[in-house]
Amino acid sequence: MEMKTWKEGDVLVVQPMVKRIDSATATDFKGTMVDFINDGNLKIVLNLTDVDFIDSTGLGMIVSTLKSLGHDGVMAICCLSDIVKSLFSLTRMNRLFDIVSTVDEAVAKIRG
Amino acid sequence: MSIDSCLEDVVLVSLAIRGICRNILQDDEIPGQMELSVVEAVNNAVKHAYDGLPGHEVRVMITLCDDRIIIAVSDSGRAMTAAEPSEPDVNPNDLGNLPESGMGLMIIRAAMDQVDYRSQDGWNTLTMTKLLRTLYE
Repeated sequence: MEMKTWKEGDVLVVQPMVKRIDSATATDFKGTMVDFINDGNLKIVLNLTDVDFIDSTGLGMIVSTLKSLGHDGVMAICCLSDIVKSLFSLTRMNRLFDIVSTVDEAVAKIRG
Repeated sequence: MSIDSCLEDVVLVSLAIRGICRNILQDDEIPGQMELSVVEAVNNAVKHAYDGLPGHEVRVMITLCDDRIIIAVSDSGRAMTAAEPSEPDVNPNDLGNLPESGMGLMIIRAAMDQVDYRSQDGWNTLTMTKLLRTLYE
C-alpha cells in the first residue's frame, strides 16, 4: 500500500495514500504497518487525511497494528472523516485509540 | 444491483449507496453509517456465505419510502447462524484480547433501526431499515 511517511523527532507519521482501508486492502495495510514496526518505529501517528472509508476489516487491521506495537509502543490517529469517526464510535474503538484532529496534536499526544 | 462475490467489487456497492443516501439525506453521518452497514453485510455474504470464493451473486436492493430507507442484501450461500452479535470487549490494558474481527453485525445493529435476517427459496436476505423520522426528532 502506498503510504507517505515522515519523522517528527522519534515519531513516525504514516499517511496512507488511499481512499479506502477495507476488506480488499486491509491485509496490504497491515503488512506495510508491520514493516514500519519491524524497522524499529514504536511511536506512530496514523494520519487518515486521505482515507474516506474504513470497514470493520480495516479497523481490525488497525487494532492488529496496535497489538504488534505491544506495550512498549504507542499509536495516535488523526484527521478522520465523519464516516471513519462513526466506525470508531459504533465499535467503541474510540475508547482504545488516541484520536485527535491534526498531526501536530497527535505527535504531541504521543510525546505526552 | 448485483455484484460478483469478490471483495474487490464491494466498493461498487459502497459508492452507489453513498451517492443515493447523500442525495436523499443531505447529510454525511447517516449516509456514512448506512454505507458502512451495507459494506459489512456484503462482506459477510462474500466471506461467510460463499467462503470468499468469487463466481457467486450478491444482490443489493434499496427501497426508498417517505419515512424510511430499506436495504436488502441477499446471497444464495450458507446461511448465518442465529447468534446475536456481542459488543466487543475494548480494554486498552488487555492488548492480546482486543477484537480484530467479528464486528460487522454489531455495527449493522448499532447503525440501523431495524435488522431482519431470513432464508427463503435458497436465498438468505439481511434487510436493514433506517427510519428517516429519527433524523428529525
